[in-house]
Amino acid sequence: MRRILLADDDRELCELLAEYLAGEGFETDAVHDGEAAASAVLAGDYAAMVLDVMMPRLNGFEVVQRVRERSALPIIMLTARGEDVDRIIGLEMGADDYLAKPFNTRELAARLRAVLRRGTLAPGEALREGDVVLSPGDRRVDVAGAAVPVTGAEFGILEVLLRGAGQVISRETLCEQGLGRPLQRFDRSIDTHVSSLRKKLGNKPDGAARIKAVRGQGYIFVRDG
Amino acid sequence: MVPHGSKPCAARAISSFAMGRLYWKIFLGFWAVAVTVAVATSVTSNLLSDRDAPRRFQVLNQLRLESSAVTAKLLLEQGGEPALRRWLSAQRRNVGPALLVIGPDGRELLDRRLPRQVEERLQGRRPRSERSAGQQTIRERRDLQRFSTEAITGPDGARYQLVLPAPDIRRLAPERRPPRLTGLAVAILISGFVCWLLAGYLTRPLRQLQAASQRLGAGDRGARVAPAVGRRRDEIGELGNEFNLMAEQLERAMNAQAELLRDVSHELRSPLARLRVALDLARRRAGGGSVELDRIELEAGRLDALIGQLLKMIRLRAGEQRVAKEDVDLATLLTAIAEDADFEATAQGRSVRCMVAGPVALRGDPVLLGSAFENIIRNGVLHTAEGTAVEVDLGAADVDGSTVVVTIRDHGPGVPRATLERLFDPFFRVDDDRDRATGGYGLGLAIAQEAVRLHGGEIWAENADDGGLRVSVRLPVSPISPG
Repeated sequence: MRRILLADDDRELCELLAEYLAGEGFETDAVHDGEAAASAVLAGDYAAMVLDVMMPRLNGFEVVQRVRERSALPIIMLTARGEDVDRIIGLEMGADDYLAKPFNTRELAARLRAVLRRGTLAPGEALREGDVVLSPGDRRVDVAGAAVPVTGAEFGILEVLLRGAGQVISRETLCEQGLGRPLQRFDRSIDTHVSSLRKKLGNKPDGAARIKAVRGQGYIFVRDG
Repeated sequence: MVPHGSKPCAARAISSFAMGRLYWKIFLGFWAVAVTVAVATSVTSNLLSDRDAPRRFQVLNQLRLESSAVTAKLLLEQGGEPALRRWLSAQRRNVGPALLVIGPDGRELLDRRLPRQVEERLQGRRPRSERSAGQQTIRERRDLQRFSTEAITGPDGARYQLVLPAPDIRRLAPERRPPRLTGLAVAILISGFVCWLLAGYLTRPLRQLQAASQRLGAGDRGARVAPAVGRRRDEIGELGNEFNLMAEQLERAMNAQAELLRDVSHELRSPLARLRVALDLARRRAGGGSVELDRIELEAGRLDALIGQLLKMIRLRAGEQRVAKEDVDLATLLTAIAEDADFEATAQGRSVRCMVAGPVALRGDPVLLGSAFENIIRNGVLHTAEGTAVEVDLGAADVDGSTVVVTIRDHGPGVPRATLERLFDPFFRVDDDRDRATGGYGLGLAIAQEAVRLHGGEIWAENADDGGLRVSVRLPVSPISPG
């Protein structure tokens, strides 16, 4: 059974969600404020968290920030529809995905499965490109021998980029393979994830960018030499 | 004074000056008054001083003569002629014309030469220099004015004649002053400068008021008159304060309205979110498809979209929207939107045709621009007649290459001319009966307008000659800095 933590101050919504997700094979716990969400997720054994942005005591962004200090747990944020800024901040803070609220419940279940699949699919050996090493087994990324903390979404995207290093990978492919869902029009989450990946990985020792954007096509992880 | 006097041409030139009409009215008006006063003062003072000077001296002379006569008579009574002579010698030290006293023997007491005219008069002769009667009388009169005479009688009955020549006015009150044109010119220049300052002082706050109300009218809720205007302790200052008060209340009212709308929208979200989950639960329980559940989902989706649009519009209007600045190819963007819209329109027996000349690069927010065009195109699909197409046309950049125009044209009933402007108002409906079926114009065009405005562009609507509505969007092509 995959345990999901629901963090939303709307208790009735949590109850309904719990009932629905139970039917989809998820076991859920619910908390109703940010403090509780942060401590519960760090104490308990959860496979993923569904996190509302607007919550008392600690808002969703602060919870993500606190959780990310210690855990790479997949997080799906629920943002208010139309609050594009929330979505971008959420992803930058390290959330794996987002859904605009009110959301389609089937869509939520699908996204949950996608982030969980990312967490469990870990075959094969480490991918190495220059001084960047990605180890699917323990979901670890090292740059020049030092571990770099990345979120599940970033890990997924980096994995796709490294497997196709040296060639342009379209945003559609990155979204489908890296995030486990199709790209939607006007969806900028790929770009947000890539930009935060760039920041985390830094430039090559010679100062060149590791990941380049190819306008209108996608992204490319630049090979050495 | 040239601008004031010269005719319409100059007047037009003046009114086209940046300073505005009131400025010139005040400036020229006050200056005209100041110049008139200066000229009038100078003219009258000139007249007065020239005319009075001789008369004043004449009166003074007469007074002196009379007082001298009294003194002389006293002296004659007490000390006889010698006393009078001593006094006269003492008088010589005085400034001004010397007093002459002619004794009974016809000689001056101190043996001074008598002026010719006096001598002639005493000898009962006519002045030699006479020519004609007219001339003579004038001269004689003038001569008389040059001398004042007074006769006294001594104690022994002897007659003495006191003669006091009039002072030379031309020497005393310096003739006629040179015309004071220089002084007048300086006065005009100085008064012009003062009037210039005055006009500026009076009109500057008015111009600031005008600018502030223009900004307020254009939608800048924070528009206020500078505090310097309000600090003036006059009517203009009060007007400025009143204006700011009014603008503040207006802003508060508008903010309260936006706030309320936002709160309501946010509050509607929670029940809507629960409704969606409950709907999916019901659907699962119903074991699949149900027409009623589909309907509920559709309506919930519409409600959600409407709330989303409301919030988006509020945010755009409040300037809270973060506007990304990316390189956007308008052609690609429009083609993609048109394709999607065409796909949906086909189901309703309509279509969307997109004609693009070539790539058009601009800087802006692709999401915002995309939603703007999507709203306009969907609106067209909603109103175009069945079997017709909505035509999206992206022209090439205009002649100077700074802007590009996109037109979206439908083949629907169009919009009455008088209401074209209001098309971009939220929830505007042309005609209640007809639009209830189509859903009216809702918020789509209002959002499009805000989005276009944030990109430094403009949007307008007009009826096409052969029917249907044409919405045009002009966007700057060169790099811009939105928001």
